[in-house]
Amino acid sequence: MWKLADKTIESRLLIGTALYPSPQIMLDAIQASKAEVVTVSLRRQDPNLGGGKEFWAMLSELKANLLPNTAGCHSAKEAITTALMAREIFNTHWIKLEVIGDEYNLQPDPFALLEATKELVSQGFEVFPYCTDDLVLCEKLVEAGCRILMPWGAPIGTGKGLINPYALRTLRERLKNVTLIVDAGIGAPSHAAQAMEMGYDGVLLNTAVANANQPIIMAQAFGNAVTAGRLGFEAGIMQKRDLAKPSTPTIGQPFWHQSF
Amino acid sequence: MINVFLNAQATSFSATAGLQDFIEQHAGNGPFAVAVNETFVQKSQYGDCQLNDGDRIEIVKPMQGG
Repeated sequence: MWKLADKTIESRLLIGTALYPSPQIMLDAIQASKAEVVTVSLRRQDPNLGGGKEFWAMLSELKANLLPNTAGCHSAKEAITTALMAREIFNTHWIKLEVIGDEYNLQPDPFALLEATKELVSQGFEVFPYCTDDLVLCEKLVEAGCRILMPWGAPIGTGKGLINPYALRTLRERLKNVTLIVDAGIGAPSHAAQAMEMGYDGVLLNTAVANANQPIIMAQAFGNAVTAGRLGFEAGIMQKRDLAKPSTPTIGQPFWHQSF
Repeated sequence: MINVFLNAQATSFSATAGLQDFIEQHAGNGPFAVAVNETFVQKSQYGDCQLNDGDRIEIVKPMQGG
């Protein structure tokens, strides 16, 4: 078990609800992943997009902790208003704060993110900021009141994995008391395991499962990878070395230095 | 009548009615939240919110997200 903000949960995988081939596959995949935190959003009602009352009923069935996002917001004001609307609809003070600064790679705007974080923290939100892996930004977000940070592994939906392991390792090393969750860019279960082996507290992903040929099986794979990576971290991963060292004892080996 | 925008679509509405009446006509079923001119309006404040010509009203609902 581990503590995420004010909740104690088992799974370290956080999963999205978008892009699945069907609502039923979404439900089955999330259940197969064993994730206990699912991300959701707000949009104008459109019968062609799904969502609304039917989606609400499925969320109730999941009995998961909801983490609403501010996806698509491009300013602090938009993000703050969206967060306030999300709090009323989903009845949670958790918010995955996204403020996009660049349309091409969906990179967060660090300045607007910090501005919105300050305001939302002052209004009682538990802010989960989707941020870059920039150490100074992350430190400022912590100073602003964040207990949780969600640096990207790679741009949203790219599936490239952890493109800057050095920066992510630095964050883990420097922000020891902050809950760190890699969010976005994860493509394969091995990427999730890599983040967990680094000592990250969790992984948040969506596309890698929803767009898999078999989302339900992929959800299981990610659930297992996150568990494996975390256990590996807790067990202590051996140091790398340059010289080979036999694992089988050499003492008593037959024919060893035998002379004829 | 006044002209307002609901989710970016122009619509007309009684000048004497307020946000509460507007919501009753347009929100439909299920959970929703409202912003007027990019400012969140709590449910408890609908009755106090008068609409003006040109107001931009957003009604949003739960949706899948990542």
